[in-house]
Amino acid sequence: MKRLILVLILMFALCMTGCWDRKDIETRGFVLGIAIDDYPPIPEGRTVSPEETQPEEEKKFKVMQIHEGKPMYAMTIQIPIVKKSLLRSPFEQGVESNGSKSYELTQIGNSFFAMNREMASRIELTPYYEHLQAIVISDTLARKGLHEILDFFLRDHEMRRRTMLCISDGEAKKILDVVPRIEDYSSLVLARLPLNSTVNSRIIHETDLGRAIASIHDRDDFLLPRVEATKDEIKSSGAAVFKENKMVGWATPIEVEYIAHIRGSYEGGLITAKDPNNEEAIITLEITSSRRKITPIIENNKPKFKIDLKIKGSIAEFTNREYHKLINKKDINKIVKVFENKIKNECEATIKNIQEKYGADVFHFNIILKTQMPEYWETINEKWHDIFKDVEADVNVQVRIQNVGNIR
Amino acid sequence: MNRTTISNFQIMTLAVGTVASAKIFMVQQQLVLISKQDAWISMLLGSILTQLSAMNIYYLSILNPGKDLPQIYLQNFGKVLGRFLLIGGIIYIFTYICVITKVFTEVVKTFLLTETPATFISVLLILTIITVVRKGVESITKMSNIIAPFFLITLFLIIILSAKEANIANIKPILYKNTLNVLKGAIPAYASFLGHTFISFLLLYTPEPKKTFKWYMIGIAIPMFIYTLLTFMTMLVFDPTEVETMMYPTLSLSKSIEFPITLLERLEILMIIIWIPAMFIAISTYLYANIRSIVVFFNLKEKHHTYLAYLYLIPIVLTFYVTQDSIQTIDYINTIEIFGTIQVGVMLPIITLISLIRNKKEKKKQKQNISP
Repeated sequence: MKRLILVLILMFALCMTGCWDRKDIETRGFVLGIAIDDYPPIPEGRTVSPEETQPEEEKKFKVMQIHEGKPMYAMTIQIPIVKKSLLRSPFEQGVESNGSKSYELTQIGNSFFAMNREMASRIELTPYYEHLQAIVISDTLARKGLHEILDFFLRDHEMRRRTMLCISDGEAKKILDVVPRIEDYSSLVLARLPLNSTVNSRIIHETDLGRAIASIHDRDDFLLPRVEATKDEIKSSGAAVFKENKMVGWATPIEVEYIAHIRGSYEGGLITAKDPNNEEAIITLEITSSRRKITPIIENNKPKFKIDLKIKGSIAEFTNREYHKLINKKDINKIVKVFENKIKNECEATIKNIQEKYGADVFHFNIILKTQMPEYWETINEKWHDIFKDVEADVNVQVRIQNVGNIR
Repeated sequence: MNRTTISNFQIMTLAVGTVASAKIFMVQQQLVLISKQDAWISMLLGSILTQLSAMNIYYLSILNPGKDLPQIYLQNFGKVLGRFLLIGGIIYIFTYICVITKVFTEVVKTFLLTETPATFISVLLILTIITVVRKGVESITKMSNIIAPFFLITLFLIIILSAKEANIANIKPILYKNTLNVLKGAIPAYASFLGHTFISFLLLYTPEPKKTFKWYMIGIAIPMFIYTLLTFMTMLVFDPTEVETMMYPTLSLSKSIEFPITLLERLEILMIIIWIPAMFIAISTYLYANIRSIVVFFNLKEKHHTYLAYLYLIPIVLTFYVTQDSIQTIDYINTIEIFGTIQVGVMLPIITLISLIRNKKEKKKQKQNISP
């Protein structure tokens, strides 16, 4: 009997070895980036050079047979070609050896899940999204609405909420096609660019999938970074302005800086102004801290916002200044005034410009009202976008220069 | 099942495992649907209700020394009515085991073992649990001693790490025209802590039941604190309208944590890996309680316990065919919990009252018998 039990245990142990979910790492196609374009992918008016694959030939593989409806999107995934990235020291990164180290695969259809599965019929690797770094959406598609296309990216368990989301000025696939000079993959460049928002306030950092969806759910207006590309470079500057779910236009890089001040999401950057004593000289203030306080005021049943900004920084550069003239306390006071006035005027101009051009509350004044004056908010909730266009904002700026650098 | 002793510390860890693990992934969504941005206050109120309920159950066990809950039913209501009333408890725990096993399997299958058949996952879980339960109370408590600390550490890790994503505007305005909903939300919050009734099955195994109270209360206070903190953090990180759409908010919360470097990239997997053994504690305790109730109901002998435990495999596998989808499964849990809330929140205080009156009468009788 004991022997029989032992045999049974051993047999059971044999059955327990292995794993249903075993998947060899080399069979996984690690998707690093996704670009989503409107279909047809070739923008109207753009001609295709003879060297490129002709649209008709492309369609042969890219357009899939679909169950319902008609193709609406072109989804491109970026998969690293691991063989090309291996066996090199970290100092040998870049394009010099074999050109692109990734494969950009485009599929056309109307369901992202179906497109993803269709791609599995064109490559031997199984697309795997756990390490997805960035999603790029073309501006033409973003203008039609984001909510319609983001469902798959939230529903699927492989996706992550912190995946970087950005809007391309033009074709989104072009961004993934970039072969960067330092990094191996364009998706990694996209994912790492927001980290530079601590030194450049023209880059938006709160821009992931989760935050965008949260704003859409709450019917808030929001910004997503604008990206553009050359053959080997990606630039993130400025932002796409979203009114609820749809993109309505672009905010300039300088507007993005002031929006960050007003929203309280400023991480670091700079501002330049003319020297009050010398029209030719330019002073650069490196901003190390920007804190804001917004107080809503109701006057004649209309909302008004008092914005107090407290900015700290240090003088980073003083070009064309008079030789041998030292900066003293009096100069500092004058410079402070110049910066205070400049920031105040620019903030107010940015608010006005966004109000007039887009009517999108990217400053999140609505959240201030909703959280601080819920009773009043209830009365204006439905007509907020109409009210927002005429909202007055009074900006008060307090600048403190903490340092002047190594020289006076 | 062996009659043995459980230390006070074991009671505490068992409380953590039994109360915390079952609904940890989804309770926030249920509360947000009722209390919106104030869901965390509902959870706090639910915790207070649970503390009161726990005191009642503990007192009930003290009033009936040496007896577990099914025996208390029979003692207070008689053999016929007691058995009739016991059916409610048996059905509640039985259905809860089946449905919570299904949820467990679904979560594991969605996030961890996507290719492994669901039936295999659940059968393996139940077989392991049955092996532990067959060995008696001691093995369950020993298991909880090992698992509970790891489970708590992981949960705290998620709470602390997600603080970076918190936005205070998400929970504002607090209690604005929402007080009634917050009170309503306290009931499902209380329902998610029904595991605290385990003490009525195990107190008789403690060497000094009266000294166990402090440990038991601490044991159930820990998961309540975590649940409240977790709900609070979920509300801070996500917008209430977004939480409403989530199947498993705790997993979404762990998925929202990301570092610039690729450290802890898949925290939700760590969470599930720790959650699997934690579910062992919860289901083991529930299974033990259910088997005890059936044994008392049918007046079975010790040797039948093992066969009874294995019989659970059939309904659990059948549950996979009865419940069609994950939404239906969660709906079933919510319905079963309403039934459980009535059992624990209404029936048990009545039994305590009856026990108290009975005890007083008996004491009176004893006094009369002593006095000449």
